[in-house]
Amino acid sequence: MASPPPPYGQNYSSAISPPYPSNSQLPQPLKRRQSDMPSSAPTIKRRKASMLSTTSASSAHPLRQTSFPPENPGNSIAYSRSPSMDTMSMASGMGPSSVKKKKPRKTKGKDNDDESVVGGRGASASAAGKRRASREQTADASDDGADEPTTLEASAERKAERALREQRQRVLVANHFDDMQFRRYEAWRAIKLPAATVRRIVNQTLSQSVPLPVIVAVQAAAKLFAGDMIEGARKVQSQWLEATGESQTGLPSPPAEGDGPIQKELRRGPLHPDHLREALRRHMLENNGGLVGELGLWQAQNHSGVERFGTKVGGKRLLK
Amino acid sequence: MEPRARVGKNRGQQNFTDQELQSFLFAHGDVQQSLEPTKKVLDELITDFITELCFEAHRSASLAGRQKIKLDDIRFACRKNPLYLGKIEEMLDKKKDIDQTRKLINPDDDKIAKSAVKALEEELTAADDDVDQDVASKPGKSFGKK
Repeated sequence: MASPPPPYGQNYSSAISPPYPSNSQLPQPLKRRQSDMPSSAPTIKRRKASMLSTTSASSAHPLRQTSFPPENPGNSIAYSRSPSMDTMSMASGMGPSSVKKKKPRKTKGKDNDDESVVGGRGASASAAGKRRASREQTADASDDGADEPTTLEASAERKAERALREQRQRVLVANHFDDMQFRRYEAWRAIKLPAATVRRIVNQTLSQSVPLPVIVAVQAAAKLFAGDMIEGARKVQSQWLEATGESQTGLPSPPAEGDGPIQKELRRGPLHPDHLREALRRHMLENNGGLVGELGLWQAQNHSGVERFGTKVGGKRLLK
Repeated sequence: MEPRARVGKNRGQQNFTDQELQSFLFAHGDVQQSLEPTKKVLDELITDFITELCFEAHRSASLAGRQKIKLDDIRFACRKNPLYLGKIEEMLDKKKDIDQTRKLINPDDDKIAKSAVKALEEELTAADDDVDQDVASKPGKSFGKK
């Protein structure tokens, strides 16, 4: 906001005299700003679109704000739009979508495998299609909503709408679940890290007693993290199975008849701790893990980690 | 002081119950009876995550000159991960809704009705999903578990 934007530079090129207009112009910008307000909305949009400035034409007062933050409804409210919208659809998408894959795996040796798998797949495809369509509607609605005035009530309303829509989508998807899928979905909704345990851990770590909202936030984050880890572990497991080419159950796998991936889902064993550890390692390496394992960052910042006392032999540093 | 050093007393202790860990693994795709070491590793993973999250929050709090951790410290610690941020926001909103509804039910003393309302909420979760609900008729608040 403080940096001189390009439009102002254009002013410089046109006027040889110093940019500060004559004194007589001073009161004018102030007055004009008020009348400018109704027309400022379209100008703001144009500015956002093409970075051209229409201000240089109207008022060239040096202290006037010439660049505005992108017109984003509910921007003043923390984390109102993008994170929660994406998260809610992603969170609701994570549970059901991963659940769909497990259905074929669970019914390992049963005869109703194929039809239930096909049924599950078909239903999940249609449900996913429906959800995708409704999510597009959500995106469209949000695009329309960007032009509305950014009032507190408007954004709260939109949030409530979004919550209702998400809930409807969830119910829609849940209706198409098979038995196993539904049990897993139920379990996913119901699991929670008990507040007592979380509170104990947090209090012991910080050696203080923390207020309730902190505990709620930590619970939410930890549940997400655990989910991420387990799903990552499953991915690792499938990759390792593919790589070694053997099946963990030891049963001979029938020849693939064009549905290779479904076969792979069927022949899985329980998760190994190694899968979890590998998933954790990958999560740390990815930058969007962000938090967790900041010990590395902390040590680097404090110079108190291993790097601090580098091993030296004969004046030369080993293990750089 | 390194956070892991502070946990010394609880080393080797399982923090979360067996059943919870099993539900976690089952909900996200494992078999119904997971391996024993898998559960232990998962328990340790979650504990470490919580520890490090709190440590990170404590860092920024102490930089701000505060000793007590506030909710915003946790948020700040998660700043790189919008998914987590959104989920935290969602949970806090749900909690607020539940509290408000509790107040509506019993405006005098909501602590009295706490257990009754919690029991009510428990039933609503599972039934929530499979019944075709007329969402418009609901009072606009969604009961749901975390």
